Amino acid sequence: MARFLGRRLIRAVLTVWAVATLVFLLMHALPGDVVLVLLDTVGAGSPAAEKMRQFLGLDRPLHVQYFDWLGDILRGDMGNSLLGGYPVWDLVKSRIPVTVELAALTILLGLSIAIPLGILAAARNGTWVDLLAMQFGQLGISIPNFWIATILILVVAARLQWLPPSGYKPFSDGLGVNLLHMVMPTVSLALPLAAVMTRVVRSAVLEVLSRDYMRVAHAKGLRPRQVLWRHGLKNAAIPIVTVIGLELGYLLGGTVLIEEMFFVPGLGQLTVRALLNRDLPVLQGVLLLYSTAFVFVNLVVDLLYGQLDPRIRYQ
Amino acid sequence: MRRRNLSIATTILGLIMVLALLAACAPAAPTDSGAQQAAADESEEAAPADEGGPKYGGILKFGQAQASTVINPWGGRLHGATEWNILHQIYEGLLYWDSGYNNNPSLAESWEAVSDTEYIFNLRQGVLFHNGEEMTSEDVVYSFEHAMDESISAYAGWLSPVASVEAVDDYTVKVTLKEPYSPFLDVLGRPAVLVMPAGTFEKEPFEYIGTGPFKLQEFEPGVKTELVRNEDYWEEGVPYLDGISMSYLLDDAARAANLSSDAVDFIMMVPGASWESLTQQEYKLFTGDTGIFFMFTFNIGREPFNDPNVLKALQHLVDRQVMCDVYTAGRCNRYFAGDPQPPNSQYYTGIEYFKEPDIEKAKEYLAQSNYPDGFEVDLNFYGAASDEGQIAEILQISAAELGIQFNLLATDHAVWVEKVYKGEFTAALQGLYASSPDDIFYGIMHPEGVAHGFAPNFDMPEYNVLVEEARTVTDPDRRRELYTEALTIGYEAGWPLIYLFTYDDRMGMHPDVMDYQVDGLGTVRFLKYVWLDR
Amino acid sequence: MANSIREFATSSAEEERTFTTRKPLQRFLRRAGGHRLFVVGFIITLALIITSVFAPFFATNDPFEADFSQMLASPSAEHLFGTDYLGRDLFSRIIYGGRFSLLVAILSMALSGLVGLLLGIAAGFLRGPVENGIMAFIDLMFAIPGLLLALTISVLLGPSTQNLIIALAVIYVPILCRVTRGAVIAVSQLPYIESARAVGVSNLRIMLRHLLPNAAAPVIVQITIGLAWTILSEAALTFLGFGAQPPAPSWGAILAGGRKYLNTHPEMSVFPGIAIAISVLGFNLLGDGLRDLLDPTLRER
Repeated sequence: MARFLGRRLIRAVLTVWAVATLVFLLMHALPGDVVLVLLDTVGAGSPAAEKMRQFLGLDRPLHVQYFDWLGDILRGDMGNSLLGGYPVWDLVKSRIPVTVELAALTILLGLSIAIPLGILAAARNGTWVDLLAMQFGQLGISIPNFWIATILILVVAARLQWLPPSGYKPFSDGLGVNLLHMVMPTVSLALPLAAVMTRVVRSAVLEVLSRDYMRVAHAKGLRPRQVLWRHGLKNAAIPIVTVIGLELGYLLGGTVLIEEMFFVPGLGQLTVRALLNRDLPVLQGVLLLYSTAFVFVNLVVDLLYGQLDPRIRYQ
Repeated sequence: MRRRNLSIATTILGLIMVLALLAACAPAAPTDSGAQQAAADESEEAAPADEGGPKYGGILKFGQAQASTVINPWGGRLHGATEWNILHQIYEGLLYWDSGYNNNPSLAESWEAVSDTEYIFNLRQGVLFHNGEEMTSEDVVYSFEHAMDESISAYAGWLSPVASVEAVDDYTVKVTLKEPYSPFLDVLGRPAVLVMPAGTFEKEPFEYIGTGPFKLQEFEPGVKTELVRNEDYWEEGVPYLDGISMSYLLDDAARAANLSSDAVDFIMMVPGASWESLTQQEYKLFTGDTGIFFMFTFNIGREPFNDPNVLKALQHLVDRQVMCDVYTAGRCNRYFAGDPQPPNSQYYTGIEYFKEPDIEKAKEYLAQSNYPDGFEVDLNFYGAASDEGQIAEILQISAAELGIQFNLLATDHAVWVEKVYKGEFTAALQGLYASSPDDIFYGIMHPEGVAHGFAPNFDMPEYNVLVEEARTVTDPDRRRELYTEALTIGYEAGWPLIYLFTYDDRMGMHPDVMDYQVDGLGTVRFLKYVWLDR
Repeated sequence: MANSIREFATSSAEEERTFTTRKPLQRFLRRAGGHRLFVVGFIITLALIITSVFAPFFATNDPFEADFSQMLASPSAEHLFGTDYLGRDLFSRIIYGGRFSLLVAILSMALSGLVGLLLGIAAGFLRGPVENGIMAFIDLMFAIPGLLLALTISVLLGPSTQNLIIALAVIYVPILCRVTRGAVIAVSQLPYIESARAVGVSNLRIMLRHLLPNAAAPVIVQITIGLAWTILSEAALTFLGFGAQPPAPSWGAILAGGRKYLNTHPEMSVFPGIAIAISVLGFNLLGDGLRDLLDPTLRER
């Protein structure tokens, strides 16, 4: 187990490093010049532009910039935003709670639809409940989340005026206000997720129900509900956990669009702005954070297997 | 198996029904909610209103239409008013423009033109900066010097005729010009020189300190801007607001919805499509000329636009009214017929060659050109999936009739400032802030002008002489004659710009936002007089 | 996606009996015809393909022809879905939008399939350092959120239809590569590959003659689902303005253009969304159906 963990950890770290390098190279290949973005109306050849380039250290050779940046990252310093000079970590730190809240609410809402619906569908396999669940599962993954968002803005915010159309309120303004602003972004992201998860839960439970030990449990005279809850769910958890890990990528990508549409000041929005303004340190910092999160969440998911299924032994 | 069949059928049926339901119920609702809103407003109005003057207090929630990632007091973005909306609250100039483009005293109590090239400004006494220090002529001289420094300031070009700025005493400043420069006071009223304490530029980190009615409390790039009341403001009794909280609502639909649901009190750029429903709900909407306009610009240093007949063909081809209608969603304020100045301006040339598109003329000119069968060329427009893209699309459609193919390139901000600002494009759709004739005819078109990047490679000696002379003449009629002559020979020779329409100042605000005054620049300048009737 | 495990087992058993008497294609068709899920997906997809290929026939108007006097017309007999902000017929634009979506989806999946398949076969068959290298790269690609990567590629290359296809292809490569590798590994452990090796058949020949056909099923399934994914992502990228540029009648572009008129003319926002949802649904059903039909061991998890 320890050896397995060690190997996986090394691989995770290497992946993150490779991502960092790729991102660094990709970012420096982008057309456009942040110095001119900063100076706005002053021309490229002007003394101010050159002074600014020197000040920002962008006149150094690429490999020097790369190793400096890598060294800084290892020391825990993500550098400063080229626009405004704020430390990248401060910018990122202020956005993390927003995106984490959005992602957490999405997973929460997604699962609270998917788990009961999936289990019900499996337990009532072939009935109208199952049909409804499957219908939802197919539909949900076919509708673009940005379109759900558009329709929500149209109907719920503009027409019915039930919810604020966009924006974000921090917790300090009160939990109620905060959640009210989160409803539409969360629903837009959670519906497709719930659809995927419903299908996953349903087939996982179905699979488990067909296993021999379930038949044994039935044969022992346990009531169907007991069989389902005591034996079924625990074993069905493995694929569910795996898919959540993989869906994290969808979620982080999805928040980019949805944060942009609802003007939620999260990491996704920060990233798009940084991309458009060529604020390279911010962009590199956020992408690094994303990939680190993704790699390690999936590592944790792998480890959870062991907890959920004792038959999986790591060598 | 039969059940599964049902499942699929109901899936699709369900999808269509839900959507049809949404679509069907949607259009019916606005009149409902509009009526309810109006009714609610009426009942509020029926209640006895508090008589008396403005009320103090309250935070104005302000929805900007574009995100500002940086506020640069020496380079407010030419594209949009977002940064100016912030800068106007923090900083002031010696003079200010009102909505009628007249210069009024601001930090200078009075001024005097001693001669054609010498101006004396008497400063207001007892004005305090946000850091508590008193403003003196030393600060004004410092601010001038930095605004004139080409390496930091975008306005240096406007101030290029200034020879020297001296402090006569603590409250008197003398400005000497190299030559007579008729737009000088207009430039100061803009204001091109924001007054800040001496030594501001050298200070690390940079502090936004001015004399304005509000102080900058927090600026989070692209997220929010918080301004608080300046208790020591020089003008008695103002500002009324405790503060201004600016957020960025880039999406048109979302911005309008934020206003109509009272999530914000004030928005910039009310989308044309929301105009009617907001009016019904009794929101206050303001519109007016801003000096910002859209134009197509063609690089006459590149093929095929080095051929005057191509330019002439395009001038006659473009349907300016349709572009204006589409951009404003049917609320077009004014489109151009040849001269982008407002017709009521004393400098309006009266050149109106292009009131209507004329396809036949366009075809004739193209037939005479070196490209009788058309050509293919790239056209840059700003942003992605932006409204500008829709204007470019109209050109693309009409040009196709002549066999001309425009490939539209959505260009993001970083590439835009690198390429298009520098004149490195073949064709582009540009939004430009140019409110004075000097900006329009000298700033863009003269090789020495500040914004010559908008008309790359345009250099016509006969034209240059005329607009140079117009800069030194003070008689408005003579200036108008010079501009008229210049533009006439310009169009004869093949004008590389197609002036399209004004980009309006469309602000929308809650019915209880009181005493808002429009300024002539498409920016929100006078928030100090605004108060909330709550 | 089987309705129940038992049901699936019976249909498979039935299959076994007819195994020897029918040719493979007939066998497949017979099974497919009984699989309603697949049939419905197939019908939707076929409808999409037919309307795309014969778009000029189905469209009531020229989708590119603007009529400035007819801007933002409401639905009528002449304009089934009304017109857009330039007076173009919305219904015709949506029909042509299907053609555009399908073309982008097919081209990017072809590109992605080619690269993914090659990498996957190389990794699965050659194993060793080649596999480690490829899989490390795939891990890396997975670690960057797809939409962000696509945005970055689009900014890097400049927004256009061609670059959109490249961006979408790049993002899907890791998925196809991973699936191919898995299938190749599974197949290459089968006895007949071992024997081919033992007899001295060359690696290339084994790869082409034996591995590819036998590993194809899961890849075909994945590509079908990839087509659904591409239609969604194309719309998303174009919606953000980083994909196809005007005058391409992309569904995403129609949606983006309609945002401004959401309050007054919701048709422009509603109809393209329905079109996307139905097409994506079609490919998803087709993919799920194929999964059941081609490879019973790969039932949905």
